[in-house]
Amino acid sequence: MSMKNNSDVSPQQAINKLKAAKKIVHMSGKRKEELKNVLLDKLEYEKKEEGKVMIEQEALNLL
Amino acid sequence: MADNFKIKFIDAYKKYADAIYRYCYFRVYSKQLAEELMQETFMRMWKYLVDGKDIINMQALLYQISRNLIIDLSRRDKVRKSIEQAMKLEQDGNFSEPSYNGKTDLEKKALLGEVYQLMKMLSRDSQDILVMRYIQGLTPKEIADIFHTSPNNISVRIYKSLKKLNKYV
Repeated sequence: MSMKNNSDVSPQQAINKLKAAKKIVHMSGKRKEELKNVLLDKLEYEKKEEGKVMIEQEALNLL
Repeated sequence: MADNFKIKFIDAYKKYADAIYRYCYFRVYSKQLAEELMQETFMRMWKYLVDGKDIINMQALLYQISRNLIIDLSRRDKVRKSIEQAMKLEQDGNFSEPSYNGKTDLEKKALLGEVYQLMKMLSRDSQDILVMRYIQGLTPKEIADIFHTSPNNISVRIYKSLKKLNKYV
């Protein structure tokens, strides 16, 4: 799209376009829930990995 | 996982995930990348929580994290490539976004293309501010909290950005 295509857009129309754009981009409730579960799994995994590192470090400290 | 952290995390996710996703989308114009950025934003927020850092303004923190992630990405040139790819897909007719009643796919694509064209006239900060103000619906005070400045400064920057758009359009 070239600049000329926007030649009839006033600042107020630009604002209206931005406001309208809000309504067309969103996550579905299902996708939001899926991503939440993925995140929680990642966080649980990281916590376990951190726990392993701590145990290994403690074991090294005992040597 | 400490329960109180988990509760705070889930509350923040429920409240802000969609907004952060949308903000990221309108900065990278890729659904997949926006999802990744949103997830990484919340991962980093989790680290804030477990590190015991005081979160006074959750909304501002999440926007700051996602904004920094986008800046890091753009430095690596991925955003430009992503935008070019998304725009190409749009032109090819393979680009789709979640449905919105009242608008056809063609109208949605056209609107997204117009928004992209408008935004690319502006600097990164100006794009951020206009997206936050008019797409996200944040107040100048809320945006000022994200940028660590005054609401008046944000209002002036909004005015100047719109004026700049006017010069181009």
